[in-house]
Amino acid sequence: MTATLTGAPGAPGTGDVSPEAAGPQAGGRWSRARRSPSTLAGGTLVALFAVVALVSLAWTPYDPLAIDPRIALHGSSAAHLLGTDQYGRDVLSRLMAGTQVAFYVGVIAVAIAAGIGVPAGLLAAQRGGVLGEVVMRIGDVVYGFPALLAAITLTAALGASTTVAMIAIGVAYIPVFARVSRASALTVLSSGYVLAARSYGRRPLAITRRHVLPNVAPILIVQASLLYAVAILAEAGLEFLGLGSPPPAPTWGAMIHDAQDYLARDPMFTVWPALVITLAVLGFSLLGDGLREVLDPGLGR
Amino acid sequence: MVNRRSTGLAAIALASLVLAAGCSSSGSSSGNGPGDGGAAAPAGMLTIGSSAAPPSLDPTSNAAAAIDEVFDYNVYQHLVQLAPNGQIVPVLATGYAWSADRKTITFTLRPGVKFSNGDPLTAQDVVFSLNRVIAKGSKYPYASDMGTLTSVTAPTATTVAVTLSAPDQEWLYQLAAYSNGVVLDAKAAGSIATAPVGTGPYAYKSQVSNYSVTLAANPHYWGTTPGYGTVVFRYFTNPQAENSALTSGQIQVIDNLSNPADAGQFQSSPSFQIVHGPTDGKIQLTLNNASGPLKNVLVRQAIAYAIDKQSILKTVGGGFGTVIGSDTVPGDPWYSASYARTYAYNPAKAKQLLAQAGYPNGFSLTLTLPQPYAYATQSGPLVDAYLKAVGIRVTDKVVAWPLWLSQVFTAKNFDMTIIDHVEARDVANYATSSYYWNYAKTAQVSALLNAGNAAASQSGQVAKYAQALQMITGDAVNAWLYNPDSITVAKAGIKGLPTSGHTESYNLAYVTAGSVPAAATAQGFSG
Amino acid sequence: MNWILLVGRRLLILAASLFAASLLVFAILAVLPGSAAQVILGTQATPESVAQLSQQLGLDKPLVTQYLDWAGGLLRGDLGTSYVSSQPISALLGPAIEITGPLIVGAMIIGLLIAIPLGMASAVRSSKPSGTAITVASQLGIAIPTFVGGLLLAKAFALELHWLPPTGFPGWSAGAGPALKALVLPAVTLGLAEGAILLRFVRSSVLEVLRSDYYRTARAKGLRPLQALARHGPRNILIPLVTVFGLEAGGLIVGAIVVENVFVLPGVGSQLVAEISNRDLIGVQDIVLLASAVVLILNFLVDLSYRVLDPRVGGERA
Repeated sequence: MTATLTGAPGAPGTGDVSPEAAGPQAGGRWSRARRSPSTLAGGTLVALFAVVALVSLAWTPYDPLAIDPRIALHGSSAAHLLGTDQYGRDVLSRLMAGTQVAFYVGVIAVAIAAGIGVPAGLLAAQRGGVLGEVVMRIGDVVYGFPALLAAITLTAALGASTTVAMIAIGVAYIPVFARVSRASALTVLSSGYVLAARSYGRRPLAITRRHVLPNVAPILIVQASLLYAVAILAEAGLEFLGLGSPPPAPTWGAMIHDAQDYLARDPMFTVWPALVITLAVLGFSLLGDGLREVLDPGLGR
Repeated sequence: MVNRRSTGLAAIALASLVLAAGCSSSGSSSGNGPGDGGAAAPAGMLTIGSSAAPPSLDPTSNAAAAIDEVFDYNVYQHLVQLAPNGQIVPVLATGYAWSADRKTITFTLRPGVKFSNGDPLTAQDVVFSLNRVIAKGSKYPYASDMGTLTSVTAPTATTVAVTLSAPDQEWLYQLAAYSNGVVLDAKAAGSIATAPVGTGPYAYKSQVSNYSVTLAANPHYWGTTPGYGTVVFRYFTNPQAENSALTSGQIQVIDNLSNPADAGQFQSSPSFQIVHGPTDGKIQLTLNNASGPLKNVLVRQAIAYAIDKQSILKTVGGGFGTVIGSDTVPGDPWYSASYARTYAYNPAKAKQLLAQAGYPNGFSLTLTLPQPYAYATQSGPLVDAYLKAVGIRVTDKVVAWPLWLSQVFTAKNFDMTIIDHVEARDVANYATSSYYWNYAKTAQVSALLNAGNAAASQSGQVAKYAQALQMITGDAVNAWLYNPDSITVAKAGIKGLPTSGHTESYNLAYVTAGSVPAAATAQGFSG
Repeated sequence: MNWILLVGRRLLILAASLFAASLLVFAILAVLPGSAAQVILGTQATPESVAQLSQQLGLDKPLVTQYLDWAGGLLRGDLGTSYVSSQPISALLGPAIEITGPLIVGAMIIGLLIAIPLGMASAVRSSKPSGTAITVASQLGIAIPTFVGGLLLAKAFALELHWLPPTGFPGWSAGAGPALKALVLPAVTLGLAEGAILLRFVRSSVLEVLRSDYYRTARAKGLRPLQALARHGPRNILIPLVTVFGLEAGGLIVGAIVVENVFVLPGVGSQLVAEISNRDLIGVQDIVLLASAVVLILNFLVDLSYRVLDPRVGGERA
């Protein structure tokens, strides 16, 4: 949906990894990261959500699936801080449990995108030539295919499923990870110390492991963080169309979908999950942006 | 596409700019929206909000209820029709008579009836229409309900005789209630898919695909002059948007509220009225009688006891409806309220039955929910929780409707599903051996129903049907939840709305801002 | 000479990509379970009549034949006939594109109107609170889901203020005024989100210009910041914007589906969702392929435009 969150593959300048960032001495960057306000704000939000997700594994105020029709659609109270939904389920407990789903959708999307995209990008960088060209051209076709449209088509045809949708989003972002890792790998491969390592007779795989991966990793962390934001938004969009997780799974998007029907009666019921989605997306996207500016000034977009 | 060769956004952009700047009218799509938000619709026009758009215009080749909703009774009429109060009333016939052997019905045609294109209605049109149902290659979705029809003739210019292979108590009802009965203009039937022609109060005017269908008053209509010059059905996939359209005056009626819980926000306002009444639907938890523990009648009875149907009716149905306990609804001649009490909510009894069946620690089942049916996806979590309370662990699976048809209905690959069996008087499903819930005693049910249909009187038929219902209820073939109401929300002052949902048609014959004839209110149109 | 070769090569790649996309679309939909015939005839139909209708619709033909029928039709400019309504798909798709096209174009224009001035301002004032405020606002604009934004806008401008209709589209035949009025809220909803995304691109491009030697030289010669930007900026800002334009097209089409649902517009998105639920797969194939084609062709044009905008860009993208 928001392709540009992940940086513009193909935009001039995207591939220019500054020599400073590509160098082997990366130590000072993390301390700079801590001083960047957007990294700090994003990092805090993400950490908060991570803590909530972990806590919700062990404890939520109520069972997020337990129904009690007698107290359906009650507003905020001391017993139920954020009220109850149309089945009398505790909204706060469901929001907390929904954090797990949010991390889950991001993990699937990132695992697929990075798991296939990074090796493909590194391979294209190492081998170059026809193989490299073919790999990147396949990426172009995949990128041209509106994957979220495919996700909508598939879930609408098969029935609600988060996993199907997230696989489609992950596939859509393979080319992004491929491009970014290829571009930065190319820069690293042409740098002096890699040329030196080559002249000492080191094997390509060893060079990749020793020099390329450590220098590509920070950029991938940035991309992963941004893809998390995209995945959470996309999942919410699918849920809105009624194409996300099957009930009774407590997901933020599904909560908005259900709450919509009670918008006139109790708007807060819609506001809470909308707020949580916005904060989570904001967290990941601020973190990704901040890290990018700090870790890789050359990629500042 | 308008311009087949251009697919670039540039071309689309250009086209849109031209359209925007020049305001060139596009002949193909006829604009028929109700105009700007907030502004009242012009006099003589009624806009009705509905949920699903009709996928085609032809009720005789597509089962979608959305087609019947607009076209049946409004554009097309039958010899006899079902009034909102459930009575069979003569329409294109002025009367009918059964033969002594109860195998032939002779209908007398109403004189002076014309189709909306001006053609007069003849006995040959009726013969043509009914023969079309049973012809080879017929795509009438309910053709099988007319199975006993053997021949249709026109003994005179004003009568039509229908011969059945055996006496059939249900035949007249099926002719009245379902699209099998539509009378077509034999000369215009070739273009039924694009230019429907009927004798009804309204004539088809235009449609915007997936958005609206526009009807205009039929100038040749034989009956009470329609209350509006134009009626527009507008479709909303998003219930919230539909409610907004009603409150802002874009539409004046919601003909069947998708989410009954929304009724509350209109009930309290003096600008709106709520008209509701029973449908023939049975929302049920269908149990696969051939799947694992569900083979055991004790387990099925336990499930029926475990579920608080009253609470599901309240939460999902907004309280609009009736808890039922068998395959029958209050409108049926053989209905009895006692079925609803057979498996009154009793989790302790459910646990006891499960233990007796050899499952003291419960077991696991999958519940398949069809999309986009809100009653199913909304009932799912409740059913899960009630069954969990007696030890049955349920996993939900949501499938799109076409997939439900292929996986659940055709391949019978499911444990449980929630579905509204909307067809009226469909006990015969329990007599069909290949039906998807795999009931074991279809032969016995079949014998009872056949005996009932062949009965000389309706009381004889009712007695046999009641026996069949007692049998399927005792076997807890399915866990019947409730009979939902059809709920219309309309601006105050609109009268003549049908007060029930016994037909798929949304009967507009008497809908008006003026006054409704007493004969119509007696038939169940709101006064 | 070089140019013709280059364009020819790009065209070949485009054709191959379109072919691959058509295969992909067909393959995804071919494996879907569920039959149009069963959906059309419903639950009361006999298995025999369902089988008969399947045959009539050609659903029992081998997949290869079905693909060739469809793709061959497309090459002749024939989008096929709907299984369900028996109407030509082009007659259904035409009016839908007349809504979704203007909606997307309108959203793009609104997005650019937001992104260019605010993006430049936030870059020029990057160290001041106002610059930070713009950046934070754009982050929020991205983070708020489109449908939530749409619901809020509809509530405010349609249900409370009654300035604009909350749902629906009267048709272009009702006149440009009412038709455009109906598209304002949807286009703004989509445009705000788009503007927030584009803004960040403008900002970083401008920041790059501000750091460049030629900008510093221009400033040293006494030009005011905006003058210096106007002289050296446009090309450097346009290139990334053109890139984003190509990339965002796919996202905008998907965004349009959501917005069409919120505002009940009978556009391409609504049609897609309806056709999927009726298993009217020919129409679904056409729409998904059309969307892919729009994205691929735009990216092809973007590729070519690099060379117009910046002769330094070589034959290959990085």
